[in-house]
Amino acid sequence: MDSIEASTIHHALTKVGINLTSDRIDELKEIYIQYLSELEAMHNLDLDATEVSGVFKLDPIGELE
Amino acid sequence: MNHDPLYFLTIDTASSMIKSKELSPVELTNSFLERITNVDQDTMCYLEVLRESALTEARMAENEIVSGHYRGPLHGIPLAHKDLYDTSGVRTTGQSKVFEHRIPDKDCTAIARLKASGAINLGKLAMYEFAMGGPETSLAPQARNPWNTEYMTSGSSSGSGAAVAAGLCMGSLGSDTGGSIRGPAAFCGIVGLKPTYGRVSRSGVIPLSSSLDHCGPMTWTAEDCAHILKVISGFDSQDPTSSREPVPNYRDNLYEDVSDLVIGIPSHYFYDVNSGVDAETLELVKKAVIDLENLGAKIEEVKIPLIEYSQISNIVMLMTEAFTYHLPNLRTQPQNYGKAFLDRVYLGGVFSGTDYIQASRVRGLISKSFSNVMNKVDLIAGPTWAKAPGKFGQYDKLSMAKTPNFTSPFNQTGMPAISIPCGFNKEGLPIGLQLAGRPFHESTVLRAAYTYQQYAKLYETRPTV
Repeated sequence: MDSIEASTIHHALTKVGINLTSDRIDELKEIYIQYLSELEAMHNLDLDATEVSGVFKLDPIGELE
Repeated sequence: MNHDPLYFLTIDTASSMIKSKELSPVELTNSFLERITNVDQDTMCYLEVLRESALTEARMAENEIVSGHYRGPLHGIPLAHKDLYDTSGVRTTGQSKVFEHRIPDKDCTAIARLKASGAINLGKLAMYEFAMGGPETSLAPQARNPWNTEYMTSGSSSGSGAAVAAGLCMGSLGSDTGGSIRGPAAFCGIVGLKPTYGRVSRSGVIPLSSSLDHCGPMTWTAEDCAHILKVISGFDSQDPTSSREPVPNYRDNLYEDVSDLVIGIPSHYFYDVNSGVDAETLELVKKAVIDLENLGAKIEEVKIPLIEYSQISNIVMLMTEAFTYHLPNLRTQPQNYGKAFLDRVYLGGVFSGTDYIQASRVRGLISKSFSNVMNKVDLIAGPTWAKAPGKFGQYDKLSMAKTPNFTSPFNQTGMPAISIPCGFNKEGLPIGLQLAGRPFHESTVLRAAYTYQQYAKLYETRPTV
């Protein structure tokens, strides 16, 4: 994930009923790109699938106690 | 004899005076209403002042106390709350045009508990739009920092932080999804506590991100936080994430020293100038940690693996959950949202299912990292916020991505975390120290905060607004 196309943002939002102008999509793309490097690093983390199921627990506190 | 103006009394002091009938709740409430009239045109904390109902509540409290029906430490105490707590018959907007005419027909659980305790509600306080936008909202002007009204308060509990600091209420409920209690507490020089996830009911509170949202008190002192927390905590069947963990009396061991406590210092992230934390902030926080050591606490270096991923993980989950909640209104009335809010919430519709699951896996690992560390230490200490407040007009819509966030790890893990003032920078603006503890160990967090406050005595300095 090293870039994002405006069409990807357009598609993601129109799919759920939100239609924005192309200028607004371009603006959102610039904002989104600021987050991309961090997102990329998170996706490339070497997560151990046996340790982390990927099933999100609503209350992580139980794990701490 | 206390010579502070009534609006600068702490809850603890006023409470003792009310109980002993030295102070009338009506007199106290009037002093706040007068203060609001004189000052709030500069601080812009209140979206709505409930003058008549506050005075009615004050008279009722006075009558009850005079006739021997004293309800407890919050009886007759004037508070005010962030405008996302539902209040029966009173407009609750999230400071957004989307909810401009929304009038709930019942109080949220936290407000209902405060009412039952005899607390007085002075009104509804400013906030960042729906607890996520920037300082500019679609509905009303933003609260300003009482230490210097050219500066921002941080958000999203902006009005709560500013009102407590300026003496416009004695305490307030804020909400915190990534630092929205602790940030304004740090910027406004007050105490703000994000309790353990599940400790305080969110039922009837406009959500931002249910898996990360926390409700908690904002006050001038840790002792006052303990008073409010005791009342609002406890199981609520209306909130499916509410905990049945017993609620202690948070003041029971508040006055003990900290010689039995071990404080962990994660210098690889919270104290790393390369991460973007401001050097002046860091200097004040390090001094506060040394002060705690001198007060008897043991300091120990700790490492929290993967902590650097907590920020993006929090952003992905928060924005995705917020987008889901707001989707119906984003479809039908996008023009009623402020641009700062929309810039963020739309990203929640762009993150993929894979992003969300990856973020939740990271969250699980970070929780495990903290769990291991908290077996060895009682508290984690560090800066609340990486930078001091900025001026209005300097707000950067990308600040969430550019500045390291030291508060959101504790939203992810659900651990209790408090911000207390630890000094002032060269511009005279407050800086916050954050202390986080084990789940449901708010008593320990409050004790360390109280001990430090009693030593540093920064609470003796009030803004001159």
